[in-house]
Amino acid sequence: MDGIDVSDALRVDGGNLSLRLFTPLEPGTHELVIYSISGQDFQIVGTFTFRSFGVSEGDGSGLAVSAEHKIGVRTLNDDTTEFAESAGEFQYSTVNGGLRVGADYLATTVVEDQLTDNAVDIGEYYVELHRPGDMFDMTARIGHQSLDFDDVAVSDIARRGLGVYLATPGDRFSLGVFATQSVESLGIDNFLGLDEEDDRMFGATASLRPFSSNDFRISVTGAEARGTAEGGLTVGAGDAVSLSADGSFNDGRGRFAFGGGIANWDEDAEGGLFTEDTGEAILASLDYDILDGTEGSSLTAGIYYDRVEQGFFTLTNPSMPSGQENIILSTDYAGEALQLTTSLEQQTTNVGGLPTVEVEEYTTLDISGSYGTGEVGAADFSFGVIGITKRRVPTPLVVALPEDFDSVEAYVGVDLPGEHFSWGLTYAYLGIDDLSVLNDDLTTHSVEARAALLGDGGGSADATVIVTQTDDLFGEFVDAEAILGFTAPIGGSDWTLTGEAAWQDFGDPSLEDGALLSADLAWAFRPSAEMVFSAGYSTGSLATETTDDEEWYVGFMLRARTDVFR
Amino acid sequence: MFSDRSGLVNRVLAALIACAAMLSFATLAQADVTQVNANPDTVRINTSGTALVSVRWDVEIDYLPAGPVTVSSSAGTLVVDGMTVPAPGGVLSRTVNYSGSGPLVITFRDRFRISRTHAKQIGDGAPAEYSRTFVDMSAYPGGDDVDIVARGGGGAISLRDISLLFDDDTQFRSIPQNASITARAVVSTAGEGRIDASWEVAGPDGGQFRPIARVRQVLAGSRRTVFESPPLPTSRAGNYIVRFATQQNFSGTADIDEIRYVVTPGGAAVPLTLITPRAGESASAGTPFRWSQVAGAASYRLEFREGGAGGVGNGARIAAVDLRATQTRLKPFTLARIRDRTPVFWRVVAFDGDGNVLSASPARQLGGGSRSQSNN
Repeated sequence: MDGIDVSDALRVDGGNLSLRLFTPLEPGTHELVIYSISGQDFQIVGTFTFRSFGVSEGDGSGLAVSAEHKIGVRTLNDDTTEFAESAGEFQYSTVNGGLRVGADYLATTVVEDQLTDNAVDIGEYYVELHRPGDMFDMTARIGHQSLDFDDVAVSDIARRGLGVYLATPGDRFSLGVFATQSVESLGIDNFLGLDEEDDRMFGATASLRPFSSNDFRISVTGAEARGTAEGGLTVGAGDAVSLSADGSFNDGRGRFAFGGGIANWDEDAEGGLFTEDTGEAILASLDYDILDGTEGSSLTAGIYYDRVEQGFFTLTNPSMPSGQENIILSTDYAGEALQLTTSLEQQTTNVGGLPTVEVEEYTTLDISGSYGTGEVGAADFSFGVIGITKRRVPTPLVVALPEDFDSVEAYVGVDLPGEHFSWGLTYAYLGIDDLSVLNDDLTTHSVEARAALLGDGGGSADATVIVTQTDDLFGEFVDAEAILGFTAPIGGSDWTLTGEAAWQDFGDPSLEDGALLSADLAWAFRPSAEMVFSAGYSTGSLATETTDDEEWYVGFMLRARTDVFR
Repeated sequence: MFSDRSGLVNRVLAALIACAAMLSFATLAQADVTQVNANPDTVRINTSGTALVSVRWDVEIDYLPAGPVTVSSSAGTLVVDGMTVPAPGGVLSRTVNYSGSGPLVITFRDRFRISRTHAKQIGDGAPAEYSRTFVDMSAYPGGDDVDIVARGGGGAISLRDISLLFDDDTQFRSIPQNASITARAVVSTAGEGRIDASWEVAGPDGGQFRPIARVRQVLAGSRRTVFESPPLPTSRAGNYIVRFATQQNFSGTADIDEIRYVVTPGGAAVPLTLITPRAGESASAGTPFRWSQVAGAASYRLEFREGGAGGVGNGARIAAVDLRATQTRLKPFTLARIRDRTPVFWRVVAFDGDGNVLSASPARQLGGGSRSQSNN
C-alpha cells in the first residue's frame, strides 16, 4: 500500500483477501499492489488505485513550526552572563507534495552555541519542487541535498547547492545535474552554496535500464570540483568520471555490481608545489542467497573486489579509500535466533604507487554475531572477533625494515531488556603483537556494565560503568569511568528534577581524572512554558569551560515552546 | 714551621674549596634533564591524508634535590622541507617525586597530526623532522628529534576524510525532549593504528564535554568505517554539542568538527532504539531488522528513506513495512526497492492502536561502510 509492505495486516478469509491496516489512511489517492512471491522472485498480481475520503483541514497543505525560546542568567565561577536564545524548525508542503520547504535556525547570544560566527543563523534548508509528467517526473532542489549516484565518482555526500533530476516512470531512464559547495556547511553565508569559486563543484549522471524484463542498470557519472580537501591547506581542483552497472539474476537470488572510473586531482590548483595525480578505480561485487529465508533461515555468500590506485581522489567521493587492492569473501547467516556474519579480507597496498616503495599485505578476519529473539525478558547475546595480520610483501631492499603486527579484538556481551528494568554486560579484549623492532605490544581488557530503570510515573535512571586495564610500553594502568543519569518527577506536581553525574579515574598518568555533577529543577507552570533552576560542579578533565581545575555554575531561565501544525 | 703548616692547611683548604667548587659546577652542568630519547627515532607516516603521529619521549633527570619535580615541554616543532610549519603537539607536563639519587626516566605520550598538505610534501620526498625540548624547574633543558618519512601503504594512521552527522544525515537538529537521536562519524583512513576515541557531549546550555561512550579499535589498511554513537542525551531541554574525539586529536575540519542539537521542552516520547543491522552494514534477504519494544505500541513502521534535503525524516520514503512485531526480514519486493538505492537510511516509528505516533527511533545508515568493518 503506497510502497508499504502491509502483509502483516493481510488475512485470508473464506477465499477472500482482507486487509485491516494498522494506521488510518490519509485522505487522497492510494495505490494497492498485490504480489505473489516464490523464493526471492515476485510478480505483480494486480494493481489497484482508490481514493479515500476523510476530514481535511484547510487547503490540505501542511505547515509545521516547532521552536524553543529562552532567556536567563548563568553564573560560572563568579562570572555572570545573561543569555537569550531561540531555535527551531519550519516545514511546509503542499497537499500533493509538489512543493516542500524546510529550514532550521538558531539565534543565540552565547558565542559557543552559535552555528557559525553569526548570532542569528540558519542550519540546513531546502526548497524542493516535484512535477510528475507523462514523459518525465522532475524534481528540483535548492539547499541541502544528498549526492549519491554510484560508488566511484559521486558517492554518499550531502552538500548545499542546486540539483535537477528527471526520471521516466518506473525509472527506466534517469538524468540528474547538480552544482553545489565542495564541503559540508551550515549558516546563512554562501546561501546558495555557489558563491565561492574555490568551494564549488558540478556534475551530472544518467542511468538506463535497457531491458524491461529485468533490473539491469547501467549508469555514467561525471563531476568536476574545486576546493580544499579534509585537513588540507591549499585549494585543489580535479575531475572524475565513472561507468557503473548493477543487476540481479536467478529471480533476484544473485546480485552483481560493477564500477570503474578515473579521477584527476591537483592538490594546489594554482601553485607549483604539487603535480596532478591520476588514479583509476575498479569495484566489483557478487552476492548470492544460498538459503533464501523461505525455510526460516537465510545464508548469503558474497565476493567483493576493488582496486583503487593511489592517485585516485575526488571531492565528490572524498572518503573513497585509495592505493589498495582488496578481495573479500563474506557469508551472512540469519536463523530464528542466531545471526552470524563473517568476512575474510586481503588487502595489498601501494597500488599505483612508486615501484621503489614497500608493499604491505593486511589480512582481516571479522566474525560477529548475536543470539536472541529481542523480546522483553529474554536475554540477547552478542559476540565477535576481528583478527588482523600485517606482513611485508617482498619489495626493494632499500626500504626500511618491516613493521609487521598481529592483532586480535574480541567481545562478548549479554543484554536483558525488561519493561521496567534492563541491564547488560560486555567484556572486550584487544591485543596487539608488534613484530617490529619497536615491540610496541598492547593488551587491554575492558568490562562495561549498564542498567536502566523506567518508573511508572515518568521517572527513569540509567547508569554505565566501564573499567579498562591497559598494558603497553608505558606500563600497566587501570582506568575506571561511571556515568549516571536520572529524571525524577516530584510527586504529582509540575516539578521535575533531572540530572547526571560522571566520574573518571585514570591510572594512566598522562590522562587527567575528573568528576561532574549537574542537575535541573524545572517547573512547568504552563503546558508550553517552564521555569528552570540549574546547578553543576565539575573538576579535572570534566571542567573544560574555564582554565580552572574546578568549576561550578548556577543558572535560572524561562523557557517556552511554540508548536504550529496546520 | 707553623707558618709553613698554616700555609699547607691553607693550601689544602683552598684546594678542597676549589674541588668543591668544581664539583658543584660539574653537578650543575650535568643536572636536571640529562638525556632525552624519542621512540621511535624515525616515524613512518601514511601520506594519503592528515597523518596522526604518536611518539614516546623518554626524559631522564638526575642531580636534583629530593622532592617533587615538574618536567615539561611547551610545544613540538615540525620542520618540513626547511620550513617550520604550524606547531603540532601541545604542552607535555608531568610532576614526579624524585628520590634525590640516581637518574629517573619519565615517559611522555606525544600525539599530534601533520596536515594533509605537509604529509603530501613528505610523500613527495621533502625532508621532515619533529623535535621537542624538555625542561624542569632548573635551567638545563634537553631535547631530541624524530625523522619523519613516508610509507607506501603502511605507516602511522592517516585520516583521509571524516564526516560527522546526526543519524538523519543532518548537521543541526531541533528535537523534542526524550526523543531518540544518535550521531554518526564516517571515517576514511589509511595506514594502521589503534583508534582510542570517545563520543563526547556538552550541554545542556554550556557545561563540560563528557564522554558517553568509548571506541577502542585497530584500523588497518585503506578503509571506510562507520562509527555510530549511543543514544544522545535528550532528557533535559537545552543546547548540546557533540564531537567524536580521540586522544590523537582525531578531529574533523575546522568548521564541522562539532555538531549541535537543541532539545525543546515538553516532549513525552518513549525511547525506541535500533538493534540490527549495525550502521554501515548492508541488507540481504535474510538480514533481520530488529528494534526495541515500546510500551503501549500496537504496531511499528519500518521505513527506508533518502537523506539529504531536510534530513531523513523529510527525505523521500523509498519503502516501508507495517508490522506488529519488533523484528522482520524484508520481502523481495521491498528489497528490490532499496537494493539499488543504498546507502539509504532506516528508522522505526511506533504507533498506538489509534494510529497516533508514540515514538520514533533515530535513523541508521544501511550500507556505505567498508565491506569488512563497521562499528557501533
